Amino acid sequence: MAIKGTDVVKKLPEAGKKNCKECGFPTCFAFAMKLASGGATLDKCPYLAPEVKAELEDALAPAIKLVTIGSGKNALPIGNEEVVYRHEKTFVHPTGIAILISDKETGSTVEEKIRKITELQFDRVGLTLKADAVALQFESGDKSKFLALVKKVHSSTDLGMILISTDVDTLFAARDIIADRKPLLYPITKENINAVIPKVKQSPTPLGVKASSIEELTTLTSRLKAEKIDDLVLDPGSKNVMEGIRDQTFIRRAAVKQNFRPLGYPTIAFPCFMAKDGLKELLVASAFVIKYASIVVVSDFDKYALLPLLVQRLNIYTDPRMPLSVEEKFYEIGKPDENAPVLITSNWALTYFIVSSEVEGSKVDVFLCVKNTEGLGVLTGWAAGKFTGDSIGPFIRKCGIEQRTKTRTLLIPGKVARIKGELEEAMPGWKIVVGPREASDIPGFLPGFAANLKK
Amino acid sequence: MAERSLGQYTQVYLHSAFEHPHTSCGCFQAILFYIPEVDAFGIVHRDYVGPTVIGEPFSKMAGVTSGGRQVEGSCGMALELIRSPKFFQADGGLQRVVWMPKDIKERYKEVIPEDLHDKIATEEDAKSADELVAFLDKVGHPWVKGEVALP
Repeated sequence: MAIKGTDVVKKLPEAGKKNCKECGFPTCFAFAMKLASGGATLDKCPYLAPEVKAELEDALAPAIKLVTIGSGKNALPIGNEEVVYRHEKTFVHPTGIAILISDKETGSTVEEKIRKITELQFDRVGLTLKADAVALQFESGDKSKFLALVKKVHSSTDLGMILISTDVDTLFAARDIIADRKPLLYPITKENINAVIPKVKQSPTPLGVKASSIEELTTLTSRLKAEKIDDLVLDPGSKNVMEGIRDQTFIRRAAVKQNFRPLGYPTIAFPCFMAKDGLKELLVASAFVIKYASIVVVSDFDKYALLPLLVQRLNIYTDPRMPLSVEEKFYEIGKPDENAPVLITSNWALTYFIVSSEVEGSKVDVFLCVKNTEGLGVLTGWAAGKFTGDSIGPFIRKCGIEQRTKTRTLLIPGKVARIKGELEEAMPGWKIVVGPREASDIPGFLPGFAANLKK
Repeated sequence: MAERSLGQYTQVYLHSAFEHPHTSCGCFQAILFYIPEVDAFGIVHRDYVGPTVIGEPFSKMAGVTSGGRQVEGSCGMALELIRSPKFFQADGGLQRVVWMPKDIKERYKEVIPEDLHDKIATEEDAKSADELVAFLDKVGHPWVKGEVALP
């Protein structure tokens, strides 16, 4: 529940009538509006009483805390979610996918899993899809063996790490080795919480809190919050998928709808402990990607299992308010020379990738100009006035393609054949050719067209 | 109102962008948006491509404004509303508008008071909030000078 700017202003000095301008805004009201939309911080106001500041901080804080596991470019931010359903706004931080490695596994299995998580990456619609973290489990009972595994994984990947051990000493010994990586420590339970608190206060680390029920979870998080430890990730201890969905849904609703702070943290789910069979495990993981888990830990995957999971995650976490789009410029496909065909299309990601793959399939080197239509397809872009002669002409001149080509021939999508005339007017010296209506007809059309240009 | 909004809202202010502004579905022609840095409004319409003076394009703002919600300082509107004497009357009306695309400024030239017309910035005058503050100070916009009294 976001607080409104007009409610914030009432709490500011002199009920928002002080207007001292020391925050850099012209009025307290303007400052309050900026605070509510998340563009400013409270420390800009020097006149806030500490208790009012704390109250406002609490009111302005996101319903679900942002927690970051790992460091550097592979840091995994989770939480900060604002809605229960994606269509209400958008989901913010994609579920982290972690692979489980136990210290009981043989050296070659461990190697294989590390190789998988670092090498299995997929390029799709201009994005790189990959798994995010490694979960290391202490099972062997031999502390030195576990620490050796931790060291090995630490040195061979730069991914986020989750350390799993019921033995607090081992857990923190491992943490100390890889403290720079900001690992998540799991599980923190009602049995070990007293031992854990002083160690975490010494050097802060994100904690995975586990309880046998949601009620128990709230007492643990409240306890930690009182000790000012709040980089937390919740595990309600669900034993199967049904309980898992129930608990995850309950936590998300309590945090977002009722602003219930003790549950306002991201969550973790363990399909690896809920299902044994590889396929079932991935199905469980996919259920948790939809239903609110911020991290899912799976025991193993291969590329046929991982890709669907990653694509599902992409689908759920893409901002539905913004169509995926690619950058406005000219792209070179193959090694086009000055006689290569020049094509134009819109910048909706799907349009671009369909057209470019058909062009690649036709084995002709071309320049593909991509006009910014704010993520609309060719025909919708035309209808919205963003793919017309008046706008394409200046773009072609500006993008620098004229220095690269001698043909002075532009191939436009058949769907917008009607802009041929206005384009010819807008681009004197250029010949406009109407291409196929569908991208699938490009391979049949392009080779002949290119051969003609070369003559 | 509560009945019609399925209990979501009980109040609406028809001529203000604050506290209980009107809601819109998403099919609006333009957006009136609040600019905290100058405590005033900008207007952007659907055909304007690229970022506005607050750095966000129409499409991004539309995502925030739409969906039948009351969003303070962000209202979907028809451009013709500019002609209305009640145009955000409670907030200062046209006198509190400090930025709009050049296209709109030209189109509504006869409605905008003559002495105000040159003092409203366009994308050519200001591309960021900082540039906007500088521009408004330079031309002496009546709202920034504190000459506008709220009703």
